[in-house]
Amino acid sequence: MSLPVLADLVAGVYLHPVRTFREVAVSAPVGRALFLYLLVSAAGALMAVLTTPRLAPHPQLAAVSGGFGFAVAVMFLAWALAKLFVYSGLLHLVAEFFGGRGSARGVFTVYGLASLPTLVLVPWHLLVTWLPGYLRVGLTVPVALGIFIWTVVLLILGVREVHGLTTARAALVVLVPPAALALGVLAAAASLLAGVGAHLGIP
Amino acid sequence: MERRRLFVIVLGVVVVLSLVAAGLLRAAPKEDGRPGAGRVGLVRVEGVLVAGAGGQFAGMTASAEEVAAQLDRARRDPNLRAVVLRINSPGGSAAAAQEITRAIERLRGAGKPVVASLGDTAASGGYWIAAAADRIVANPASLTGSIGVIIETANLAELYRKLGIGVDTVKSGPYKDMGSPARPLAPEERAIFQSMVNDVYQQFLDVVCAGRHMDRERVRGLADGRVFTGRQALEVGLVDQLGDLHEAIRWAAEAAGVPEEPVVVELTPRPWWYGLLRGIEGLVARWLPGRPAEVKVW
Repeated sequence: MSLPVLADLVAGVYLHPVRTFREVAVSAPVGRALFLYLLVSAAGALMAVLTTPRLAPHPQLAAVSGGFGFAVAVMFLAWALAKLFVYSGLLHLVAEFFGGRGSARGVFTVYGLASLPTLVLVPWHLLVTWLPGYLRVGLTVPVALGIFIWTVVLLILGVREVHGLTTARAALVVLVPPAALALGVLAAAASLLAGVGAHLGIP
Repeated sequence: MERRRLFVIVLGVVVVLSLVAAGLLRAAPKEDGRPGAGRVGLVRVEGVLVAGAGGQFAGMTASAEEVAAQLDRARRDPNLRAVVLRINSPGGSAAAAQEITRAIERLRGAGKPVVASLGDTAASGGYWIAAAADRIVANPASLTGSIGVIIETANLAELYRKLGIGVDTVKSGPYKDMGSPARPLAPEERAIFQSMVNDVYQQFLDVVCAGRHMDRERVRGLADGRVFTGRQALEVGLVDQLGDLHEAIRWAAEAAGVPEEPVVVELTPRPWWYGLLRGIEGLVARWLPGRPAEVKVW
């Protein structure tokens, strides 16, 4: 795996995502995408382990987070890997439902590369350890939201290029699974509440 | 193309530097950040004293090398005005106690007061190192004293015979296998061991006499191996005052000329799982406020 090629891929995702994903649609660099995804996940997990004890609101919570730290980091990496396979598979399935003609390898690569913006959060997490609590929350929410939107936009662009869909259809592909999940959770919560209410005799 | 690679290099460097900085931040000793406040170092001696590197399981061994290194660090740090040695040890290797004692002497020689705060137990080697401090603060129920030296050997000859195990020994001198579990101790070997015990005992007495400013006969009267409670030890002069860790820190601060509440700098790193267990215990206590207080009598 040559470093210049890897660097060009990273820079391409940040600076010219459409062109990069168009190249991914032709020839998906699956190994490089997997490597970058694991690297970004590991860096994020490591930074969380290192900074969480200082950010925890209570000393006891800080001690627990400090103690669990590396075990949590390993679990996080395993979770991230599982998420990469499951979610990219799901995206590919939904994309086919919407008329896509791309490959699962392409979606897998797009999903891996779309995680790159979260790398920006690594230095950000360090910066916020020096900020007072109110400023930390006030600044972290918009920054995290911005990174999340950036990631979603990259996913939409990637799915569009890989599956040859319109932007609107690609957006639906990316947004339908979480929307369905949210609806499912809401429905389950509502039925649970209704059941509890009936059991307690609340009309 | 070059600009794209430069962008990636800058991003990579920023990420790596951030991780390194976060690692250093995490490794830094924890202290509160009151500027200008006097600082008192806290060094913990917990477990059986060993001269080597010690084990990973806190509470089992206290490494003399590590404790001495922490004391030397306190000596070199101009921001630390005094040191409190928190001792929870039943003793251990006399050589390990001597290494820690030498580090305490270097610290005191640098003009920094050293206070020993006794926890559950500071007996034998634990008391040896406490005796080298400027002041000893013990809880009324702390177990201390046990001034004495012991060498134990096991005679498993009968067990070996029952199991049908024979031991063949080839040795360069008559005493090379003294203390072997395969046979009883010979009278001459017992005499050699006794002379060693007596010599180390005299060294122990030297430390207690010098540290406590007590005459040898008085110390010898207390040094028959018995254990004292903190209160009994105060009565016979083996400790200076009754009190907890907080009072020991206050005394150390006052001795160092720090008038206000000092900043306490933990100099002994804890294993990662120690914080985990303490944290869980703290969270349970926080979420279950009605939990009754624990009373332990062993």
